[in-house]
Amino acid sequence: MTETRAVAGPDELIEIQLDGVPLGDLEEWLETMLLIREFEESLEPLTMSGTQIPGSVHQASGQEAVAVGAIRALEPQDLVASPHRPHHHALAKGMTARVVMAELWGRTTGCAGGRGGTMHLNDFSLGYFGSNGIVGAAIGIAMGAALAAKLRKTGQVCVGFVGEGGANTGRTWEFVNFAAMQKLPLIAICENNQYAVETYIGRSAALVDSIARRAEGFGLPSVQVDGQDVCAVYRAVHAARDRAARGDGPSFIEAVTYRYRGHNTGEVANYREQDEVEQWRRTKDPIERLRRALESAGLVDQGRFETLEENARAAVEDAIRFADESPVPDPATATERVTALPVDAKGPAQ
Amino acid sequence: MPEIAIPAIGIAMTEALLVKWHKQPGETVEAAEPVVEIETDKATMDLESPAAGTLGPHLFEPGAIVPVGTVIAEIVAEGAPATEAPEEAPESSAPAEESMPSPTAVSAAAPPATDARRPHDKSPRARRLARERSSAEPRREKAGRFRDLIAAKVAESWREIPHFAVTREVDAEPMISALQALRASNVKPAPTMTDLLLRALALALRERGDRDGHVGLAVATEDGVVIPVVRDVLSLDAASLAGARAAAVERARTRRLNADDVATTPTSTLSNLGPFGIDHFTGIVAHGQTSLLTVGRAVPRVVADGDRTLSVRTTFHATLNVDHRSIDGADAAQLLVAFAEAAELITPDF
Amino acid sequence: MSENVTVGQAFQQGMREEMGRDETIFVIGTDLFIRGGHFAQVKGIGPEFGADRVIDAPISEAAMVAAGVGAAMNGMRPVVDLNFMDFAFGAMDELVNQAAKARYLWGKAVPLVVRASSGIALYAAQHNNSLEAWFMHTPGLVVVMPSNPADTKGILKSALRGEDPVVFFMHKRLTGARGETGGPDDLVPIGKAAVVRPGRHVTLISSGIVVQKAVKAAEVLAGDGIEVDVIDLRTILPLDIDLVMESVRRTGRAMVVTEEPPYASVASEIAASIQEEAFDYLDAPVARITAAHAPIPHAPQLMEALLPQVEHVVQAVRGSISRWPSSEEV
Repeated sequence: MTETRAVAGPDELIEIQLDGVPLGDLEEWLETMLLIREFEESLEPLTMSGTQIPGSVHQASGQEAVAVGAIRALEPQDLVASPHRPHHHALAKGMTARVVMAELWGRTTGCAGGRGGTMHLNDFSLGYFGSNGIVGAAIGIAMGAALAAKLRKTGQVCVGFVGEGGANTGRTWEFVNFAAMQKLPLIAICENNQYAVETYIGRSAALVDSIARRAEGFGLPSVQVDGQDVCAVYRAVHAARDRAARGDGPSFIEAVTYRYRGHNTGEVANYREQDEVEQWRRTKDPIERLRRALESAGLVDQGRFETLEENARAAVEDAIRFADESPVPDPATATERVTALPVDAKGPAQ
Repeated sequence: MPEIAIPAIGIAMTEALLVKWHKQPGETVEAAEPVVEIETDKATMDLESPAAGTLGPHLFEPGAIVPVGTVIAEIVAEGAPATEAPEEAPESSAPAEESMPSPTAVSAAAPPATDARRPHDKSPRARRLARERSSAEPRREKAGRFRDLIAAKVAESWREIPHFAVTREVDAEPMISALQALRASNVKPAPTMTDLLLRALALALRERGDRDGHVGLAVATEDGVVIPVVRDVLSLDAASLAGARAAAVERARTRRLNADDVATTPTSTLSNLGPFGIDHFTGIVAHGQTSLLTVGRAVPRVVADGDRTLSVRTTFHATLNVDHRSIDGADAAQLLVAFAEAAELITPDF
Repeated sequence: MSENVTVGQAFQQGMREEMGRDETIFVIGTDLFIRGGHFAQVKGIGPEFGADRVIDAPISEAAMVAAGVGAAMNGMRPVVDLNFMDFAFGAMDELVNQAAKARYLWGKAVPLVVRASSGIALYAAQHNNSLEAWFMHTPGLVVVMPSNPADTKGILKSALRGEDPVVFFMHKRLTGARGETGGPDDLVPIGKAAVVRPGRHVTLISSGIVVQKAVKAAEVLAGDGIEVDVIDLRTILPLDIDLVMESVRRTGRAMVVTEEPPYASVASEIAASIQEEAFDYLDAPVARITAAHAPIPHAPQLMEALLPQVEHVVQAVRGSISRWPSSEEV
């Protein structure tokens, strides 16, 4: 069954319903989404200074509900792998702002010791099986991990994220098909923020209204949800998780979302109108929608909300300071840990 | 193509250390211009270009120990490219056998060679082996190599010098009287027949135009014949000449020729096999010299006087072996006669 | 153990023993369960161990290898069987960007074996690529190429008990080659070459099916009085350059024989390394005897014309000795 995209009036915030979600956890959801927003919004100047974050990064401001809604529907032992725009997934999976920020800065205290950067975050102890610079690859990793989970009977469910751009690669569907055939405990989540770098989905796919329908064609239960509604995302992933845990195989969830920022920091976006961005903010901002619903339900008042905002700001400031004070990796270690078997690395210093 | 090779200076020399190149490949050189500095056992000297032209590649580098006879550079005609070293591997003291398959198999399978065959003593491995050999060599092996060197040198002389010999029987009695008188007056060290023969030869050479006054002396050693040089023979009195001869023999026997032995090429050499019981013999002119005086034993012989009466006198046979390229029959005769007269007129107070 | 079996059977033996020993080992690929693979490399193992241990995959090398990578990162020791090494192109991202980099970026081991039949045989260009240089060139991958039953089984065991992603090359034409094998715990170490025929005059370096050609060339040259030291690399990376150098220091003359096309080949890497490290021991330049730089055609006469044959090796050795004679009395 597919849902159609919500249609909004030009100025109204479209409200969400708190159905089918654990109400006691929602304040934490909000806090995490605020942390993600604060984190992502802090990055632009850090990448532009030339002395802090080397290179550019891909912010997910506006996509907080997809990460939090999906990952809060999982159990602690479940695994997540994501593509090149991963900070929100990593933070939602439980990684601290400090280790993510330090990794972006290339410091030894980063989650990959400074070796990975923004596109190669990881924390296997938390079940975060890495972010990946190759679109579609995360679904492959999650699919393989799901195969192991099935063979070893670990009870894990594995989530792989892909964008709508990555959903045009053959590998995405090779992985999905294999998972379906093997009935693997996989959830493939297509985070459709409608722009692949600069290309609007309408210009890259004939079946523009639904990516979920493609997955149906491969035999998976597939659904399209409002990715700016954290509860809708939660409900869809929760159902998919139940299905996978029962042994009924993988599901495909297309979460329609929006990124407020460009493809990466420092981008000058000429491919879309600012009006469009503003309209998405006004009508479907995921944080504002959750806040409004929590306020209406008497669960979080304005004062509490401002405290949560302040917590998020403090956490990100702390993370920036932490990264700034962390050591850079020792150049002498650059050739370590290539393979377990020793291979003469040779190179310029020999 | 004119070559610069390590010369054998003094028959004891087996190799030289290449100290320094004065000229670089591609530079113009004049005939007799110093091109490279080498160091032998005890002397340092320059090797000169045999011809005008352009210096070819340095076939050895400073620090290399190069066997006698090895070509170390070539002089190419102006503008002509230097080719590989010549087909014939020059005779050298380094053993250089090859493990060769049958010639037919090799030539049948050899690819068309566009370059001249590269002698095996130029490969990196060959140079290393030569270095190692020269730095760690037992005496015994040196002796074997010395025999090879003598062989090489006499073969070269035999090949290149058109020899002929003239002979004269010489009255020894004046020399014997002179020796007795010198011994009676206690000249130390005690002079011998060899000293008087040296003097007589030097006198003859001076009369025939030799300006230097140096004479080589063939000395039998356990490793083979060595030819030190007795310098300025005519400037020495009996005692000094005896001392110089004794010192020369000592140098020869201990294979410690000095700079003068090495640097000086006398016109002629004396070889006396009288003490070995020989009546007369012919010899091979040493490389760079023009004659060799070979002398037999002084013993009583029956002679016929001018009036055809017989008497007994002590005589010795003197043979002058000459290089016909520079000495014709008449010259040889005159030189030998000059020697005979000098010997027969010798007095103790020279 | 120690019977006369084929390379294919040796691989089966190794798989059977290791899968019995370690339940985290499984195989995935096309046509494995019933057929046993296109070269019968896992024949009989499916019915013996079950469909959870021998998994038939759809034709998607990307999915197979990704499954292997993800499973290796989540506690299993997969063997991905691509059948033909030429199919690796469809899984290049999975091999090069995923499998090869997890340890370096994250300290995460990927104990994965990717096996395929390789080398030049039949079926023309697209089924006859030489990929060993591609994978040798990728930091993070281990590349092995056994040439006989004992090494096939022993190296497989080392790979399955190791912690690295290993690309396992088995030459198509060696599938039926016979020999002895070792027992259940006879491991052949990865990264160690072997001298298959000793000699004093020339070092001949080879791997895979070319080892046979090198040995035949050595036999011909022995008739000339030329003794050839034939080396079977067994592992492409890490390369056992120490054994190669030890031989070259003795012989003073080295040649590398390969079925690969010439440019940027494994043979080029070996030749460069030898002249760098053993220059003072060489009488002659290090030679590479490679295939020609062309795709492989269908007609056998055309194909064989591109490949180095025994007589090319023999001529190359004789020519080298003739042009650059040995400097040492040997």
